[in-house]
Amino acid sequence: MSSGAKNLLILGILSTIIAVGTTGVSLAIYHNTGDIYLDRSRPGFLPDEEEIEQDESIVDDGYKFADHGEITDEILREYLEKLELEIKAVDAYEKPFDAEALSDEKLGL
Amino acid sequence: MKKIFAVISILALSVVSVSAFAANEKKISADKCTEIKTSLVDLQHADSRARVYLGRYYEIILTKYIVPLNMRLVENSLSEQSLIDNQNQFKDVRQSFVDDYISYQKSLESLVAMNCEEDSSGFYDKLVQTRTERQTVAQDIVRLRNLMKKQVEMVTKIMGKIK
Repeated sequence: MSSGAKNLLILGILSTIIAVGTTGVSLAIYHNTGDIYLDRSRPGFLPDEEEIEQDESIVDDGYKFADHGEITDEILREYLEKLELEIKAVDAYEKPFDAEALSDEKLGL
Repeated sequence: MKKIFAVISILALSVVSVSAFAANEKKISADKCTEIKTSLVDLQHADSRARVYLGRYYEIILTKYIVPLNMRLVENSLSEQSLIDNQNQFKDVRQSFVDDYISYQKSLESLVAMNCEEDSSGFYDKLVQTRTERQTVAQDIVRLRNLMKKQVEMVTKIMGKIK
């Protein structure tokens, strides 16, 4: 084997080792920081049809509370009305992280 | 009579001991283990959906309602320390929600990875730990809800002060 070919081979092996190493480090960071648990693009965690339909049904009425401008009773009244709608949407999610889901009865233990 | 009483006492103690032993030794069959694992994986997915749904609204409420209001109140010299404190608390508890959720999901993932048939006792101990962590997430949700309600109450109070 010529020295050129040998050097190319060494370069190829080194590049592969570096690529595998950096990928491994990235995956370890991804897992250890907990980002993996927030990532919904991984297999099995993609939004299902029902969720997509729910997303599409949410109508954005374009309300935006500006961070500057005057403050009046009327403005605050509208603010409260819209805020309470958001709070209602939060409350609409039934029993998030309830204890029953991991109970002995539910798991059949 | 005394002998009969002694025999009855020994028998009663044995029954209690066996019951206690049985309670601690939750033996899980292979079929049951598969069923439990399936339920836990379904729960992982359901929890992920819940986290996204709630997280989105918490983000909206913080960035589009709580923060802009405080900025606008400062501009109008109507700033209230209680509202600023509420904003800071909301940010902190929201971050706790994310951190506690990650910790809970790590626990749940470990639980799913365990062999519940071979190590039933270890599995059950891990299950108890996961339950505690799930409860912590649920408590964060309650705290956030209380802060949202507090925001509404405080804004209602301000309305009375504006001329």
